[in-house]
Amino acid sequence: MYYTTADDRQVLDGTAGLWCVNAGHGRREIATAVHDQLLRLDYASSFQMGHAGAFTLADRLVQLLPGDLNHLFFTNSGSEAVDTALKIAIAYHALRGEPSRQRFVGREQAYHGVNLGGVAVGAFPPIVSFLAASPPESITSAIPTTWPTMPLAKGRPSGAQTSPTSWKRW
Amino acid sequence: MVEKRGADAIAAVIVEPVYGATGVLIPPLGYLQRLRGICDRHGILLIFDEVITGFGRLGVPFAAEYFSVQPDLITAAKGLTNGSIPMGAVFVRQGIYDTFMAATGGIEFFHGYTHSGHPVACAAGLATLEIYESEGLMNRVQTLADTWEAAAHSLHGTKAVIDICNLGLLAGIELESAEKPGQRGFEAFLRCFEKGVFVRTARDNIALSPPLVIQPGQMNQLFITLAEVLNGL
Repeated sequence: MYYTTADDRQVLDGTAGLWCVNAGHGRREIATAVHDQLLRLDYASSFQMGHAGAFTLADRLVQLLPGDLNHLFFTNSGSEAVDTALKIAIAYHALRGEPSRQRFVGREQAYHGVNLGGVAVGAFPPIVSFLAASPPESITSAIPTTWPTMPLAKGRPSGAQTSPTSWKRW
Repeated sequence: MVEKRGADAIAAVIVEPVYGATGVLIPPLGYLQRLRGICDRHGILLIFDEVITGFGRLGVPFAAEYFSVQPDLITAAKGLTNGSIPMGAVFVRQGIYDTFMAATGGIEFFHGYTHSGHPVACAAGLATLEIYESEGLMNRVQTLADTWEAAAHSLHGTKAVIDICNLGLLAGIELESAEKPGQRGFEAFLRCFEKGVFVRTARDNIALSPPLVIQPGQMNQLFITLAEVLNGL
């Protein structure tokens, strides 16, 4: 739960690093597994080849998913996963005979990583600001999030009000 | 939006079940179900971006289960390897996979990264899953959520706090902006760090998402420190 600063202070991690260290820091089992793997097989191409670890992990992971989300594609980050998902979506429709489906709908102020696809579907102002124009209209439309606000809501707010929120977050 | 562009122009809708980077924002009851219904009616795929909600943040492995809504694709990363080795994944439904595999003519999906399925990342992922499963971490938040909620809402009345929201082991605290938007949030971040607590701010919003192993005493440390810092700004 703690980081140690350069000047030896303990700092409680309220963010799991960046929403990612769910099991807490300093997990020896992970370090050992990584060390052993580096000595056993440090790199293997996933093009025309495969290694057991990827399949083992994939099989274990899909057990955690509901319904028939039974297959996965590995990337190196959430940003890459998002762009990959967008590509899969377009390709899927094309394979089914609907190649006209080329656009996406995202939400205002959503964050879907920083590759251009993710930037286009998440209208996250600081990220989008570098683009000369709004994200390519050819592939995305941002829907305003008309979530009702319910100040100090515990858990999920009820959907009673429907007036759009005007966010001053950015 | 479907009306504006025509349903048959839209490939997919992508959403974070719970917003993260912009600040923690919780979907109202029924919202995700309605989205699923709209997508179903118009042949649009629904993608849940679970990079943040994945791996136990809400008390079950994935938000799709938590909200009882079945998306067509799920993107994940972060907790996949406990943040140790960069890795991400896209989960797809059987029908999507089958569609690709049924296509004839060479490589079914011409895509992939040099490090896709990297052996070392896979080892880290497997070791991570072992920990999550043996320690029950992907369900642990079910026993923590109420305590966490109470602790988060204890900030009600603290200086400059205008809204607090929570779900699972996530909390968002919206601060009233000072003269320069973002200034208050950033100062809070710095002062917290000086006082031994690491928080995340997005402009004037504080987002909290501690490791799932957190103990009640540490929750207290987190919110007491935050209150001290905010009251002292």
